[in-house]
Amino acid sequence: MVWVVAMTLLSARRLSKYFGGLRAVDEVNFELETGEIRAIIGPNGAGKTTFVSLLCGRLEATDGSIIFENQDITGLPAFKRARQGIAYTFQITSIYSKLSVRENVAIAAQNATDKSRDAAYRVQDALTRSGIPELADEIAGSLAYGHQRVLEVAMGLAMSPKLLILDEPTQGLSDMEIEQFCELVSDINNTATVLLIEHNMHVVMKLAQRITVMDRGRVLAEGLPEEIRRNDAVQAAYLGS
Amino acid sequence: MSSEQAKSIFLHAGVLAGLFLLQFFLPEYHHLSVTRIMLLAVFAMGFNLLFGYTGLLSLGHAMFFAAGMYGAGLSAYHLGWSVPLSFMVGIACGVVLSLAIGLIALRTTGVAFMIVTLMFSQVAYLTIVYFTTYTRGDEGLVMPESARQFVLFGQQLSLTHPGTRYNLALMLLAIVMASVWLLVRGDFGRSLIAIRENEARTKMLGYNTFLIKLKVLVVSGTISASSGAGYALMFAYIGSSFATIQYSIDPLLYTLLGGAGTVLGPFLGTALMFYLIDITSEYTSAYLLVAGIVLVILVLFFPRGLLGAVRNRWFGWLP
Amino acid sequence: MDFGPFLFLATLEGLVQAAVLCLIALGLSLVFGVMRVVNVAHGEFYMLGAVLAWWITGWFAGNPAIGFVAAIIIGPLLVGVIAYFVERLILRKVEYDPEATIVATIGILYIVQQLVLITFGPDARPVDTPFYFLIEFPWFGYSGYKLLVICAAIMLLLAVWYVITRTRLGLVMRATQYDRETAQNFGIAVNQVYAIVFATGAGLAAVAAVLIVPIQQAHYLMGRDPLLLSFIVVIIGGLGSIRGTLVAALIIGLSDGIISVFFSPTLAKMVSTLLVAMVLVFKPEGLFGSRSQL
Ligand SMILES: Nc1ncnc2c1ncn2[C@@H]1O[C@H](COP(=O)(O)OP(=O)(O)OP(=O)(O)O)[C@@H](O)[C@H]1O
Ligand SMILES: [Mg+2]
Repeated sequence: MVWVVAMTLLSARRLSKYFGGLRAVDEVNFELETGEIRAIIGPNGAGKTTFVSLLCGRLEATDGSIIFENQDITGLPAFKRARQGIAYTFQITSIYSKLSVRENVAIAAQNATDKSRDAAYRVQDALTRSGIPELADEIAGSLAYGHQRVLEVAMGLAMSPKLLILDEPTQGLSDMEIEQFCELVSDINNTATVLLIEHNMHVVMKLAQRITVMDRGRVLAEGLPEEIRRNDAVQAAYLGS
Repeated sequence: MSSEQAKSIFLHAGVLAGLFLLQFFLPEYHHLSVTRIMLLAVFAMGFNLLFGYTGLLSLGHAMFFAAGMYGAGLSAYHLGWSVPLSFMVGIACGVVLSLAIGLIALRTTGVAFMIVTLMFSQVAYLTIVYFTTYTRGDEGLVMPESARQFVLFGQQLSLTHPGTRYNLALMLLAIVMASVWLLVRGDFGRSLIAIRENEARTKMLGYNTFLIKLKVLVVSGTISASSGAGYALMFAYIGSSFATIQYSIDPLLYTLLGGAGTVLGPFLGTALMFYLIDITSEYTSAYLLVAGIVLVILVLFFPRGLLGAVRNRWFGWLP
Repeated sequence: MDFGPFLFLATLEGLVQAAVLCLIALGLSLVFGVMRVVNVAHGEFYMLGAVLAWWITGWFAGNPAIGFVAAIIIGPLLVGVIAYFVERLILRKVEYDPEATIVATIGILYIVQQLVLITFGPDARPVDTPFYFLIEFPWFGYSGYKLLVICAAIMLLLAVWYVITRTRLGLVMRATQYDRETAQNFGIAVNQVYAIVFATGAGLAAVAAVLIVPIQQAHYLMGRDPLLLSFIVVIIGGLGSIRGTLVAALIIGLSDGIISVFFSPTLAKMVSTLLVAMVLVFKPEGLFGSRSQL
């Protein structure tokens, strides 16, 4: 028998975020292992975006703690977490729309965690891996929506992150774009752990090694894709919403 | 070195060389005007670093200009310090003031930032007026004879000599232009533009945006102060009118006219606006009318200014 | 004079200040609240109101009250019309972008100020008080006109309050302020509302100016101090909050009047400006407003 010792990359303890009386994230415990692709699913307003925003530092937690690579990062500002290797792509596309695609990626590459290669190389590498090298000189705001989403990911990639958080990356993409996107995520997974918020169950089942289900700020269930598919509570939450 | 970079260096060095040669042809009146323009352009370049590149619109840059002016002027007048030393004091005042203002004002963004800087600048103006025993407020101070002569690198220089003033102003302009050019082309410049275009995103990409904004505000304030210090010493006069809101609006006007976010834009804008006002003031005392009309026209029709329009249409490489 | 009566006099002076300041700041606050733009030219509309009052009263010889009544009707109307066109021709074109609007209104500030300089000259112009009437207190006599200013300001404020809370126009304004897009979807002509609000804001400043010219004089540079003061009021009161604006105007107008009787006005201005800047930095919702709006 072979023992695979799983390393914990990130864990959250009783993590909470309240907006006034609303408990958007309510005492969530969460563990992420190095190298996995994890999907977070859940109905609208479940608190998924809020939860990952706490992880990357975009929002400040009301309570609880976050450990990343054995270090408590709960109090760290977002930019420091980014430098330690947590990259985040926004649910609502947020790029530098007046700058060229290459500039967009170059801005992201400037603070990369891994600086063993020079910046120009990392930019080109991120563009190539994302499959948009021929768009490098286009103005980002003039790109088709699908390409803008890919650019978001390319920017994440250019940071050479240890953990890449993708918030509903396939929303609004065509079927073909989604297929390409899945390949891209698989490729990224060779060098980074991926945390993926996704509504498209086809994408989730194809990519995720484990799935976490959230509902009303809490973790409803967690497990292998097969287990989640068969879980009654999950079915109820989705059908009930 | 890329060909774009070569072109750009050539252009900026060419402008400076042109200004150097110009002094041998200019009649006396314009000789003096160009000296003033070069100094005011330094002010506008400092302002543009913050406004054009970082997207932070300060409506109070007169306070940094005044910090340099009064730092230099008061130490030359009351303490009898030498010209180079007084100049350094002016710059030091700029550093300290911009650091203090930055630490406070940068907690705000957008419209609040504009109003806060406007108010701090008003406080600075009132401070000058309040300490009228030392500053003589609106009436101002004329620098003593001792502050008109100095020794630099073994050379005896006299600030009463127009050629000396012209070349010192040109030197300051050249230093500032080269610094700005280097600054905006490197990684730091890229982070400024990133903040201007989308600050929230920039934070998530690992940038300490507060620190970057603080740094650029200090550089911007210090450059503006160097202009004020130069102005005080070269023209031998300091007065509170240089700290009024008018002097906060001027660099905005120059920058918008020449093109925000370009290295040469502020210089071009300063030169054009200076002569525009110079000419109109021959005909009417209401010369500020021109400033108002130009501002409105720029906002309505040329939000990128002259060089911005040129860059968009023909020369993408212009920094 | 003893301290008590002296303080009473200072308070009366402060109340006159506060009354006028309320009107000016209310104009600025309305524009910011509904349109989300800062009108830097607001002080010039005030100045324009004062200079027009001087000009209009000049038409009428004889009883100064007639000229004054004409001025207080025609002056603000003219200023409102001018502001209306400024809004149509400039602010609308820059789509109310906050920064562009500030730059544009700085330009308008210069244009209005300098045109007045060209047209009416650089001299300070006095306007006759519409009536002379001294109210005799035991310690001193006080101008009845100044008390009228206070009353007139209160009536105007009540009128504005009535319009905002009780009429359809007010409802439309509040809806636009609350959510521009939705208001548009409900068929409110947002553009028209903006133009009316902008003109009203300028008109209020002009009314304040007409009320004050018999006490001060009309001069082309008189717009700057009221502009700064009403900025201060609007910030302390909480941007866009009308009730906050009024409370702040009262406090600042009163304290400004009182303080400048006792202290050096420069020092008073210095300290108050600094404090206000700090409020905007550390408590952007203002001291009396309820929500953060910048
Ligand atoms: N800044 C905020 N202020 C107040 N409430 C908020 C804020 N952000 C989110 N919420 C609320 O918190 C809850 C969780 O929102 P969140 O965006 O995390 O959900 P989500 O799971 O990402 O939903 P979706 O699938 O629609 O993206 C919602 O009820 C939302 O209205
Ligand atoms: Mg979400």
